[in-house]
Amino acid sequence: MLKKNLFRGFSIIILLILIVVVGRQTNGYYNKPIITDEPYKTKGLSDAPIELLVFSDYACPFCSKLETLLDEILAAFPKQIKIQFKHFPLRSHPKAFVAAEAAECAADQNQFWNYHELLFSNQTEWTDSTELRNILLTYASKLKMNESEFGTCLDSGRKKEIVLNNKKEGEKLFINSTPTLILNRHKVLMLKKKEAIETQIQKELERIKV
Amino acid sequence: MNIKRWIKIGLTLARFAIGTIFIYSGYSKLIAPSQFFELTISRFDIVPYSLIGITALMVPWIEYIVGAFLFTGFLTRKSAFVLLILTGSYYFILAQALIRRLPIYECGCFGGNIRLTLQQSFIIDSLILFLLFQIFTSAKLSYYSESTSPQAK
Repeated sequence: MLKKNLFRGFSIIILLILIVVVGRQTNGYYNKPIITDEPYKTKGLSDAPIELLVFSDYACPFCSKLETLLDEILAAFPKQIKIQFKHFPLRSHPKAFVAAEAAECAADQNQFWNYHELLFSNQTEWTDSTELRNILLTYASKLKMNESEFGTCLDSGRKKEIVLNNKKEGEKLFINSTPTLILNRHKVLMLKKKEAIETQIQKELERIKV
Repeated sequence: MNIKRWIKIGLTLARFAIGTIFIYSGYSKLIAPSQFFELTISRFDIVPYSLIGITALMVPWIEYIVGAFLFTGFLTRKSAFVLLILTGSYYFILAQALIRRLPIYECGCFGGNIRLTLQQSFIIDSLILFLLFQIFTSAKLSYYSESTSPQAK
C-alpha cells in the first residue's frame, strides 16, 4: 500500500512539474526581464550593486518629497546606489502624463534629469496652470535647450509610447500608487523615514556581501 | 437521499473547488518570474527580508502540489491540514495589512490574472478556511480515494 501511494504521489508531482515547465515555455515572459533598463533615466554609477527603481508621477506631492530624499540617500551611498526612474502618471493627474512626455523630449537633448528636477521643484506652478505647454517650453528654454525641437517633440506625441510602456511595467508589478520604490527589483520599500530606507539598503548590501 | 449523502457531495465539491483554487494560485505564480511574488510578499511588510526569496520560491510549489493532492483526494486530510496552515498564515498576514492600512490595493494571490482587493481576499479566505476545516475534520464523510487515512477506512 505504501509503495502504491508513493508511486501515486510521485506521479502526480512529476506531472505537475511537467505542466509548469511547459507553462513557462508557452507563457513567454518567464525568462524576459520584467523591467527594461533605460540608462538615460538612471542616476548614479551604472555598476552600483544596488538599484532603487522608482515609479513616480510628476504631479504627485509625495513623489516630489521622495525626490529630495532620494538625492540625500544617493549622496550617502555614492558608490553603492543607482536610481532608475520610471514614469507612472496616475489617471487623476492628466497633466503628469504630458509632463512625463516633456521629460522624455528633454532626454533627446540630454537634459532628462535637469528637466525632471525642474518639474518637481516647480510642481505647483505647472499643475495649477492652464498654460501647461507654454510653461513646459519655458523650462526647456531655462535649460538652454532647442525650444523648437522640444516643442515639435511635445506636439508630435511620439514619447507617449515610452510613458505608457513605463506605466505598463509598473502595472505588471501591481503598482497603482505613487511613489513606489523597489529595491534591487525584488523588494518594495515602505516609504517611512530616511533612516528606515537606509537600513534596508544596508541589509541589502550585507545580503549581497558588498 | 439522506443528509449524510448531501454532506458527502458538498464536501467533495468543496475539495474540488479548493483544490482548483490552490492549483491555479500556485500555477499562476510559478509560470511568472519569482520577482513578482517577492514584490507581493514584501508589500505586506511582515516576512523578514532575508526570508522573502525562499518564501516566494516555496509557497507557490506548496499551493500547487498540495492543491493537486487535495483535488485528486490523495492524502486528503494531510493536504487539508497543510493548506489550513498556509491559509491561516495568510489570513493573519492579510489581517495585519488591513489593520495597519498598508497601501496594498491588490492581494497578488493569483499572479496578475485575477485581481482581488485585500477585503475581497479576506472574505474568500474566511470561506476557504471554513471549508478546509470541514474537510479536515470530516474526512470519513467525503468521497475520498485516500487509502492512508484511518478515517477513510
